[in-house]
Amino acid sequence: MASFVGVTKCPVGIAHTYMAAEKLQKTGQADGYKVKVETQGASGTEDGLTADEIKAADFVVLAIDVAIDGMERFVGKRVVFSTTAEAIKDPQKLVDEGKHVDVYTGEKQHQDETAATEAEDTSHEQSPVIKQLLNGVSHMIPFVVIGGLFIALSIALGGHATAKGMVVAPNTIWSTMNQIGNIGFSLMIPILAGFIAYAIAGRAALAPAMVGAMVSNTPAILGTKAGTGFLGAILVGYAAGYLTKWMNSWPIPKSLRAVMPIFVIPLLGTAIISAAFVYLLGSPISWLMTALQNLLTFLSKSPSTSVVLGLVLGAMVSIDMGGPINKVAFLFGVASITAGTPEIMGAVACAIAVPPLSSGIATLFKSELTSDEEKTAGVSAILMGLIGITEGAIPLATAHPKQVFPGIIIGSGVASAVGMVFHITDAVPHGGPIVGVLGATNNLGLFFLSILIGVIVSTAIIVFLKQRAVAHQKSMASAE
Amino acid sequence: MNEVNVTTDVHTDVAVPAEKHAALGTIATILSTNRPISADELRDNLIAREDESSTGFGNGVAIPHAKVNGLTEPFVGVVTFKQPVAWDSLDGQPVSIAIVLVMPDQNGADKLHLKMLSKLARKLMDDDFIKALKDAQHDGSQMTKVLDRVL
Repeated sequence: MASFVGVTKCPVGIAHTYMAAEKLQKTGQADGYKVKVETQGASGTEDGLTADEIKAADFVVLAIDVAIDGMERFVGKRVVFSTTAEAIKDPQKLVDEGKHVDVYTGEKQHQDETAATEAEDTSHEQSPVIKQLLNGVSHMIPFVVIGGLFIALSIALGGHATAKGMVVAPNTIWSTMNQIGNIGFSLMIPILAGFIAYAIAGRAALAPAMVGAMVSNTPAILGTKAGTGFLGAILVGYAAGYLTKWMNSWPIPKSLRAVMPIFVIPLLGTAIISAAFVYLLGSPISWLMTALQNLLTFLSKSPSTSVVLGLVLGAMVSIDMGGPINKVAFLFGVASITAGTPEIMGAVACAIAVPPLSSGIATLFKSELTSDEEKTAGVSAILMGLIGITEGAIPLATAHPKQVFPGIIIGSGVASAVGMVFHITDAVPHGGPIVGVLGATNNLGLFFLSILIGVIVSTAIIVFLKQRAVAHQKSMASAE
Repeated sequence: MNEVNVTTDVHTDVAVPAEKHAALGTIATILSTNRPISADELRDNLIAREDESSTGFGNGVAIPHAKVNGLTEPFVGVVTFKQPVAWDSLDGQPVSIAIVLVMPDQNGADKLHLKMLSKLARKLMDDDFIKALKDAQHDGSQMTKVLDRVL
């Protein structure tokens, strides 16, 4: 049968805790629910909820005036936040709300705090959509750090510049580290998608989002030359989240409810998301990649357009950092090495380092928009930038797209254009300062200068836009 | 279950000031008479709780409560008013019956007594019980009987 659980707690713990509990129980039972309400009162916790009861409950009603013990038990459940007064006055409303209330993700503690964070969030322009995105980003950061630093260290200490790129000798500790780093990087994509979806619709959304994200990043399944990168993962996360949320709202016979989140939703969700990517997005991505490649070929035919070519290449490198657009630019550079025009690879190599270096350096500037979490990601982004791993910027760009993307796209474009002007060549299919240190470029000083100019431009734009966003929030807040 | 008795102290048709805080002062004075507690402290603590959120939960009944020094076990005071007092209740109705829970000011106060109080609080959500209280509003001995059924 349908059931819900609740917790009640008031400041003194003598009257309202129990009055609210009684009301919820009576109202729920009158509606045909099995109800259990835990009371956290002056005489301690009574009618404590068991893990099984919480698991079986369709939703949770919290009638609490102060923070309660054991909030973490309700992460992933639909949770109604209210006060003891509301539960006593209008318990029916709370019970009705339970059916379509949002899933609790472990952020807020009780209603007062919710109101406070919501007020704060509106001033920070944080809509639910942004919060869901940030949930994905914060779960992804450790994976990016592990992946990026393991790969960066293995290349820095054990890599050799060859015509095939930076090669780490097999059967060495460096190659082991490199492979471990690659695992971190490949997990980053499903984690990002999975936890965006989780923030929207809870546990049931994890599998469709994570499997869907892997599908969208497996070129062999998509029938394209490249996966959709982190932008595709974000798209999958939202799609799987809202799809699951919608499926959760279906009127399902009670007998089937238990199998919905573990069987029906994951299966249907994964099938729908995967099919959408394979059949709807596969060919547009292939078409886009071909079109971009044709554009680059056209621009490279005449020396007069070389600066434009540089701008476009740089922008392409940073626009999706590892996605199809980045791939086209990178492969175009790689092809130029064998074609005898390694200036193009040189320009790409200049751009590659700009997104992680500049977005990382930007976190060193004081800004109310930069969280401690981002500062940590910033340090590792700088290290990754030195080794030419563009992906290091992904968490930072995703957290503040409006500020970071304009910076890195323009900055990378500038770096590549300057590289073109200086006729930098790079004989190794890899980028960042490391290829210069390893002697793959024709002019180390000018190569570094190109990167530096791009980084300065990008960092300046990011810092400026962040300051403007903070000032804008403040003026909005004072206007209110 | 081990039943313990909770002392009740019933006063019917008391003339109280029309303002809530002042009415709580009168209640504190009445309930601290013949008890080793301070009327001022009880009043202050009742008001402090009241100001956090109204204890008037509807149907003309309020449940002010507070901890106070000097008690060894909790008791329940019932004061019914001659004239209803505006209480800022959940349903906006003025209050004519105050069920006052007074507890010793020490942590881990006897759990059995606290349990009895929580039982009373739950009972207040029962329409029949509220009706019985209202019927006994002017009859002290009947009021004591109604409460003794629970406590």
